[in-house]
Amino acid sequence: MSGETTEKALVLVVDDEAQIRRLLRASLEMSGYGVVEAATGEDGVTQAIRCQPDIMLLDLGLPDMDGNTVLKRFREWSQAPVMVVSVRRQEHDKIAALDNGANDFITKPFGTGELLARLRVMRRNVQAQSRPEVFQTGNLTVDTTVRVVRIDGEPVRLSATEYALLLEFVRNAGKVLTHGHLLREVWGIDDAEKISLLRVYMGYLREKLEKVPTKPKLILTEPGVGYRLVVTD
Amino acid sequence: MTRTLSIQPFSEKNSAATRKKEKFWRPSVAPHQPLLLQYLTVLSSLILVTVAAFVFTPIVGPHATALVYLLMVVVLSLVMNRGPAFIAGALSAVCWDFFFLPPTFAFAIHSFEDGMFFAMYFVVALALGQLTSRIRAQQKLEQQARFLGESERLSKTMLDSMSHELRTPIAAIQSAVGNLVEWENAGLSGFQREMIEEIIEATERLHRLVGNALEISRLESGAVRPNLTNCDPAELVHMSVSATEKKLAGHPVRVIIERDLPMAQLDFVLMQETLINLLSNTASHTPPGTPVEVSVYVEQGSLVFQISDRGPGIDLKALPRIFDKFYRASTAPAGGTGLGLSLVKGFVEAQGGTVCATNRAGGGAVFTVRMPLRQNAVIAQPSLKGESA
Repeated sequence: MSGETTEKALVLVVDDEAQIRRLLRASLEMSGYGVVEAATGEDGVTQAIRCQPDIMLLDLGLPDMDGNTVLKRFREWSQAPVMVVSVRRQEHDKIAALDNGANDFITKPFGTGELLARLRVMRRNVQAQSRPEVFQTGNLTVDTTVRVVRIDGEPVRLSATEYALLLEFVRNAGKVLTHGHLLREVWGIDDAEKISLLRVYMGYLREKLEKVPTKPKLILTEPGVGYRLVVTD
Repeated sequence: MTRTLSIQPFSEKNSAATRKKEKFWRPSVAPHQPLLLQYLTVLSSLILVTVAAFVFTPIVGPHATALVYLLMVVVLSLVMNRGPAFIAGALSAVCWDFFFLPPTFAFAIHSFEDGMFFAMYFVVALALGQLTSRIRAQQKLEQQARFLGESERLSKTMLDSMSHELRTPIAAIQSAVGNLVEWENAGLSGFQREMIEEIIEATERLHRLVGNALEISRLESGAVRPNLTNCDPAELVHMSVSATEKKLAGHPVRVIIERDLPMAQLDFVLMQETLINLLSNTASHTPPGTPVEVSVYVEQGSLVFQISDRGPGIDLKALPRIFDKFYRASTAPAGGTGLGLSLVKGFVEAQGGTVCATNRAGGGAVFTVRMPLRQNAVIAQPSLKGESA
């Protein structure tokens, strides 16, 4: 489980439930993370400043303040990855959190294995801060210098828009990108209602990249929220 | 730290204080006196003012008297319904004309000025009564809206904390037991492992039950508001089939997607849960090995999702009740919550669609979900292969 990082990464767990914090601490420490706990949003903001965590694990349903407020205040000075913990049916909050700079979300209740895997991906993405010119995941290779996209080594012809869309995913590999984010960054449209446009282009892109377009393995749909480019472990 | 379940009825004290404050400058919202009593009050006030007017009219003149009558009308209309206020306005005009406007004790009006005064008085008195009662009606509506808003907020708070309170311990159990299993060095004996599997299974069921029950109460309280966006029906079907792959293992699944389907205005998450629930239902009610067919097509302005199986079909007695809450067919296998299909119905109807179940010729059941197609449809995907195994 551990051994991937030479230095102990510090995780700040912001959750109002003592039992959940204890459990998270147990599993995180077993996987070689250091853990700091905060029981309230206010406490979370303070602890973050005090101990400069490498990762924040943030519950959106805090008693004293909105999890999104904590996130915004953290993002004012830190770029450390934030994993948001939400419950089912919180799509709006999730979208808000992702647009406020959260890197990923996980829905309660979640398996520890899944959480640890997601944390590993998040850390790796941050460590590779300067993206390599050639990006690779699964059978997909994107050479950003010469704008060549390959599947299993075979070049794939993409239209300008399709390439721009793919590039946005590559730049944020592993991260969930909301519909609004993609429309804004790729089309410059500030209207999340224009989602059909995005869906049409996602269809084109999958048709060209995925082996079975109906069972995507590269760019996954996050229902009601957006899409994510998978980073292979 | 923990949120408690006790929810106070929205601060009594506070709203009582506001009410008092309102009364100070606004007409009371709902006059409680019966109508007859109100008319009697109008009549007696009129007599009282008229008698008093006989005393002071000789001193101040008939036109000032009209203002005293008007004052009475204002006061009365503040506390009375529209009818009595109208009568007060009309009668006071008549009284004033008859008793005080020269020539007195006659309805005749001689000067143009007096005629104008009388007409104006009449209009003002009546308008005042009507305006006041209109304000009052509006206030009544506002109060109702406020009350509805508050009770909606109350039920939402309750659902939110229920959801939080119930899910947290379940999540803790799941994660603790999960940890035990995940770490191989936990050194569990075969027996311990077996017991843990039991805990996991029971917790999973409890989690589903709580989740479904909360979802049902959210639907019933109208807290589920579909977030309609343009959705690709093919993607919906494929994602739902993938999500139920495990449950449907052993069933040959055929997916048939009509070509050039339009985008549909649906709530992606609700729709996905609808299809997942239907597929899970099919998986648990059909013997392994029997084929399952999922199709989506357009028919008469509706987008139709259809899930057909070759299982035993639905008992005719059960057929009209299968979408009822907690209804479980006698043949249903253990482990279900009895809520899956009622959730399906709720989710579909929340988006303006319909769902029905029928038996198939040649054996098996068909669940059909029809969703209305709205205008401005766009072709969803240009050339996706129509079928996959």
